[in-house]
Amino acid sequence: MNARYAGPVRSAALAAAILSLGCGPAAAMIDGVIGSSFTFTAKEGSISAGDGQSIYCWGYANGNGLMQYPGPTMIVSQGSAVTVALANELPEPVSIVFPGQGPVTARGGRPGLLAREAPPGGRCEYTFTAHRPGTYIYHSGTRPELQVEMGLVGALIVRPAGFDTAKPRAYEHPGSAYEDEFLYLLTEMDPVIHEHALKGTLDRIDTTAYWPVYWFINGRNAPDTMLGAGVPWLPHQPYNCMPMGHPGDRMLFRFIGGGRDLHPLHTHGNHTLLIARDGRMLESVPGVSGPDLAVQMFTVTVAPGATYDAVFRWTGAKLGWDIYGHAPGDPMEPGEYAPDHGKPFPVVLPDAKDLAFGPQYSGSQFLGGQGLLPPGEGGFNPTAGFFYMSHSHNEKEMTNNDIFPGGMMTMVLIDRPGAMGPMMQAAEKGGN
Amino acid sequence: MRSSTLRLAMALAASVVLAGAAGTGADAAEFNLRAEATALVMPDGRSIPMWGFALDSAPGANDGPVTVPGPLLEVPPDDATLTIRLANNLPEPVSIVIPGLITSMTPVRDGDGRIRSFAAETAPGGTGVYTWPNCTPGTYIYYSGTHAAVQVQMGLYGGVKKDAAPKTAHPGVPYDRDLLLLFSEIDPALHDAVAAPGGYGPGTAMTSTINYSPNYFLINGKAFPQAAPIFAGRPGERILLRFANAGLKTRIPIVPGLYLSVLGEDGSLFPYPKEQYTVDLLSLKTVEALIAPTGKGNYAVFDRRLGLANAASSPGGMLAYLGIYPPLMVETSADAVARGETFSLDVKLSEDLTQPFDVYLVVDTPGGAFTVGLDGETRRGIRPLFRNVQGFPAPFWTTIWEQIRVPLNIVPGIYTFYVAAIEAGTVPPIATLGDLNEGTPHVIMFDAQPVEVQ
Repeated sequence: MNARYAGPVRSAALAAAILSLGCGPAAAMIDGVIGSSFTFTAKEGSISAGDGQSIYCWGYANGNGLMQYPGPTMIVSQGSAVTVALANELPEPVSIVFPGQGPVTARGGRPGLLAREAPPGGRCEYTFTAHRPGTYIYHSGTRPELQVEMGLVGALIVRPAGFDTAKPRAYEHPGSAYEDEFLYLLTEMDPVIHEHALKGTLDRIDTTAYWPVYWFINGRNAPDTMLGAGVPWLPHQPYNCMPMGHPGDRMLFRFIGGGRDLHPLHTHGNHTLLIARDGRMLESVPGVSGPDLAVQMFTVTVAPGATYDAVFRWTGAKLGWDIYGHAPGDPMEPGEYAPDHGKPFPVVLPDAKDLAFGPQYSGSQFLGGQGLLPPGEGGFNPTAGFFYMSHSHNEKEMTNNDIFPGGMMTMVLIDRPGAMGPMMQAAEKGGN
Repeated sequence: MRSSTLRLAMALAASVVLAGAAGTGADAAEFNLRAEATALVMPDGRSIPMWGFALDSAPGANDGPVTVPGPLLEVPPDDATLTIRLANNLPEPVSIVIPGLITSMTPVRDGDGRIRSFAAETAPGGTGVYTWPNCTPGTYIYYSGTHAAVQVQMGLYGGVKKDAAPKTAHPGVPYDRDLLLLFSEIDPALHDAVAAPGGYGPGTAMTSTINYSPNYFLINGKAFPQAAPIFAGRPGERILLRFANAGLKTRIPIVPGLYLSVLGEDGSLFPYPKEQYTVDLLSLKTVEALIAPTGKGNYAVFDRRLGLANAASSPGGMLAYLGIYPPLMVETSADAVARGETFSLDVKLSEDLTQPFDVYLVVDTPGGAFTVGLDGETRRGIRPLFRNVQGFPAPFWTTIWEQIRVPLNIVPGIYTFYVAAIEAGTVPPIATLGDLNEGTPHVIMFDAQPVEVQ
């Protein structure tokens, strides 16, 4: 029990310094571009990997902004006619496919194998009606084995009709309600391909010999996943992945397989309830029954091209002790797991002299609790939240070019009711 | 696709006759398979030594072509027992196994006790008989169970299907048409080694398949752009896609323009179908999914794990198109073109018409309707493009115009191309083909395709 408790705190240590720097707008709503008319420019730029490596990429920029990886997260409303105008500043034709949307009509540019393409220096335009809500992906339909690898991939979120930000739902059905939502767009990269693209030796690229060594969530490797969104030193990687919530919150995780490999996305702290795949709820009677076929999983198999919606809810259930250290007569906290109310922490902590401290240990094992710490220890978890890792369970993918830890990994922060961790405070303030 | 199905049907008929003659009972499907070396030529010109199966009309007939994948074995709904008579023209023993169909198997061990074959072997030059007495409805993969690390990759695989009833995959799951989409891969290094004398095995340059690394990716034995669009069905039909993976790598088939109702896997149904546009297709899995496209066109299906190259050249690999065509169809290469650009125009007929008919092609423009002639000239009034057509073997598909250049001086707007099959020698009572509808006298069928001139 002690080990289970100490685990996440110890793991969180690696995120400590960075978390304290988090200053961007990390919100309970997913960052993206809201509307129905979008202008993207396919252009080049270099991203920063978790080990400091600079990787030359191609990506979709919002308007004439910077190339970004992944492309802008498009957030549209169900039923709206969506238009995406694509300009191409890359040396190859590019395009966009919108799996699950249809029919997509395209004009301009030239015919391609999967979609009309914007030639180098040219443009084309795509139009479709977002008929159904859900989580979707978009990516290049031109040489996708090269261009998706290069970074031409992004997320599309369709809000259900009548979407209410105060009572958000992923789909029309109340079974898809949530309090907070977070994107996990999973990709990977083989830098050898990117070096050839940078040098202009595209003809020497053999995508069948692809061998990725970097793994990303929302375009960042751990530990950068936990930085704030929009930090100025990652100009091409504006999105973070640092889910934060309170006990009892339904945290909607929108998983997307953006690359070409499958990833077993594993959550600590609790299972996730898988309620949808490919923008369709897991339901026995489509459009009627709601997610009655949802399943609890501790690892969601995220296949490339596919999307998954999963609800993560943490209450401390079945820990067997009161996470607040309540006495039996104390009032309940919101979202508290009632059967453990007032149950004592079952372990006598060793003396502080016998403990190793992580910078995020607050000095207390209790949620929101503070305790005495030796001089120089702690200080990076002022609200004393609980940190739970979520990551690819293919542990090799938790590395940055052979350096552990890193890769496809981040932390989920559970804060006590009413408390807001440093990044949540930043989000409330709307950024810096 | 269609012709090979026809061949198979003929072969099936022959084998049923044979079964009757041999007195094995009317409710047993029998197939005469022959394992033999062949070659596949990849789109980049590389010829790959393969091992494949042929379907013979009778034991020893040697009249079927050797293909990779092997012929699709269609077990009639009423047949409880599947029997395969296997002739082996390869230099090493082979066998047949079908995961999901239960039978008693007799594994063969090497002298040191290690399993060499999951089922009884058929020696080189010999024949063997394999029987599955309780063949259940579903989609399955057959493949060689001998030295499987090598023989399956060499090409000894194919599909098996059995329906619960005619045009009914499982009880309560009817369909109008079905299509097998069998994914597989090739690592040419393995094939070259196996084909070379002493090239593969202990003490040779390639001692095992541990470094298997495919770089050709096939759907139904073809790498893009080898396969023409596969006619899958008509708009509005329920089309059953039978996905199968005979390779060693996980594939994620994706149909970005459609949702699939994924019914089940390994020949079994899920309790409820799943609506997805992707399919999880792991090695030796089969997945059955229904599509019901309402619009005509070519729907791309490809591998989202992006096996989309032919060795180092791109595009290629596991990309195919499901053709959803009305019986008569006009198809343009673009929905929208700018003045000065070019596009092409095809007329497609995918149904046998017994009665003679005339084909008309008319373009309705903002300035009035024109009839199009075979020479590409336009004329006022309605005149046939082809007269007195009969006996077209479907599918018939002809490109009327390869490179239509849109004049710079024409009026922008919607130009609609109409194609119609009219009873030969008759004239429909209309002013332009734009007046056509389903009830117009003498009209057998018609189709329209708008193109926006910008």
